[in-house]
Amino acid sequence: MNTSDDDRFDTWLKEASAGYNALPPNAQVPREEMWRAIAAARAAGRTPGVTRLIRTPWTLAAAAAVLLAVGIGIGRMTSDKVDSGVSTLPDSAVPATYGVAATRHLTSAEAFVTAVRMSSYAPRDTAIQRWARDLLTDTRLLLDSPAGEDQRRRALFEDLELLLVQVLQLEDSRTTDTNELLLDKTQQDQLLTRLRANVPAGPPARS
Amino acid sequence: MRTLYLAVLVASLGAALHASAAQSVAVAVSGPTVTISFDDNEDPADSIFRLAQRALNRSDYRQAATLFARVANSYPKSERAPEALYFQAFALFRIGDRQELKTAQTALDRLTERYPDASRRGDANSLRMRICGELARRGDEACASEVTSSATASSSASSSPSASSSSASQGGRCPDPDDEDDERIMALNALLQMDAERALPILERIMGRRDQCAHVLRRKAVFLISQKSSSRAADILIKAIREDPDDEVRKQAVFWLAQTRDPRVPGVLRDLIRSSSRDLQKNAVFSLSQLGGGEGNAALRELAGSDNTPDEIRSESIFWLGQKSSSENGQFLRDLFKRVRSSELKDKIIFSLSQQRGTGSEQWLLDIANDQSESIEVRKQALFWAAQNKSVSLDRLAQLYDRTNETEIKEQLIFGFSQRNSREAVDKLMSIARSDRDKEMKKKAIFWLGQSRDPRVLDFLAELIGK
Repeated sequence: MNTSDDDRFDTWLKEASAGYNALPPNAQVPREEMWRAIAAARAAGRTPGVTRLIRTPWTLAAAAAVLLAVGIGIGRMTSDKVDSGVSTLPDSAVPATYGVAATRHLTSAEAFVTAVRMSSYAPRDTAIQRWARDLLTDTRLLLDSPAGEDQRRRALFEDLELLLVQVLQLEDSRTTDTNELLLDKTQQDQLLTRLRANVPAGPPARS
Repeated sequence: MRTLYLAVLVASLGAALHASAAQSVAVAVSGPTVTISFDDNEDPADSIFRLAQRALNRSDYRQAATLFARVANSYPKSERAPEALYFQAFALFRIGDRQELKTAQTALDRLTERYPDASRRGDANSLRMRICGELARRGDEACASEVTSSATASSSASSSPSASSSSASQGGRCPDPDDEDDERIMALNALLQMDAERALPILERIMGRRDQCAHVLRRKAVFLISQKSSSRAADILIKAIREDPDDEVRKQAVFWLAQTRDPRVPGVLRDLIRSSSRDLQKNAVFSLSQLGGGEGNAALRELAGSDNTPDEIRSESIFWLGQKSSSENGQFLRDLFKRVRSSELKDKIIFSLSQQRGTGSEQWLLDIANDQSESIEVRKQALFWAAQNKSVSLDRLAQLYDRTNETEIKEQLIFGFSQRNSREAVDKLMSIARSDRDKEMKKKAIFWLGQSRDPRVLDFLAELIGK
């Protein structure tokens, strides 16, 4: 529930992406169209278009476009799409503010899992451990808050909590083998997919 | 069910272990005893631990707890033993029955007794507090006392190692919040769940702490306070907004203020928008959007409509108005569009209106796309969002394509067709690719057809190539 995760991810991403899969200098990439397609699909809550584009060789550019997206889809969880003539807060049991906070948190978690996914299994990576600890506390607070009353989101928080405690236990591990034993790549992949499905494009919390 | 358990376990073992077994160990899972076999060169503790982790990852908490317990009990000198105790407790906590919670506590006690170094690292203390909090909620007196005592300690600067801040006061960094902050936050959380009335005064005292390293606790405290809708909670948050030295604490307090439902909130938020930093202003706009009863909407419309409001804040207000669909907001945004000159604000209004279904926005977007007095970029933006809106029929978009001579509008429409994912849209793209007089448009249509999954496209493209 703080913004420092963004800075951490930025730093990590900058290092991790330097020179990664660089496009040829004269490559013609329809970035504008790609971005709009991604934004549109996200806004429409539809995935085939996204899948279609992401399967092209421009995966990195598409991912960057998603990260740079502005405002698309944010607040959908806050909107009441009934033309009642009178705007009120949604009547759902979970207030919209918690939805926004949860989305912000899941966005940080997505960045974290991506970082873990691409990290080596070196034990005692202090930055990752610290990040995991921050996320774990917030995950637990959200689990016990009204944000945890949404069952689908709760299941996601619980799986995230498990991954976070596994990462934290790496501190106690002395060998790469042990860390491989603790962290299951398939589990991370599945969690990442679910996180991405739950996080709209755009800034994590527009506020 | 038991047979199924065993089948799953045996299948897991089959994948995990080599065929030529030279050692064996018996593990009881849900009653029956299963013999697990190992290679000579394989550490049995590792093998069982691996199986336990797999069970944990697939949410089979009972099996995971049993297997972790086996590691800890049978191989206490193994490198895995401390972790096994921790994860046994974690799995038992997830099962969540009272007896399992008590056993989880016991596992963590053993971790502390047998492996004190390991118990100080990782998450063991936080997990212990979380388990105790759950037990306290179910009436466990010892845990209730522990939770209250730990939560109360966090409100006192002198009692917290992270608050004594000798290093911070000497200009160093705050102590690593790993130590006890997490545990105390969990204690505060548990107390809030258990007895909110007792938690609030403690949270208030934490918010009053000004020692250098207390900001981490205060940030979490704000979130906890926000869950209590009361005038006292509003008092604490308003005070934090006005007095807290930490920017993040103030931002969080503004973010959550609307949750208190206090009648003073709209006024406080309006004041903030007039006088605070841009970050706080943005949070205040969000908070206004969360107010019920139309008061928030009215304030947002006022901000969005005023030329005296900074553009960034106007944009935010427009965005949140767009997220609250109503004919009143829709009409307001359409009227505002006529008045504003900034293309950035126009873009924001177009986006916000595109989010409002059933408020007449669909036709309005097409009208803007057709309006030659608007800039081409604004028109393309309107067209983009109109094309994304399924309420705007493909026929209307196709008619617009046939009618217009403007290249950029045509290009935008081709892109819009490509995003429709419908048979009719593919038909239109094929028609353009086949017979449009403009070669560039043909090329664009072919490019997007190449991205389509429609099975007819392959034949169509083959036909084009064969021409």
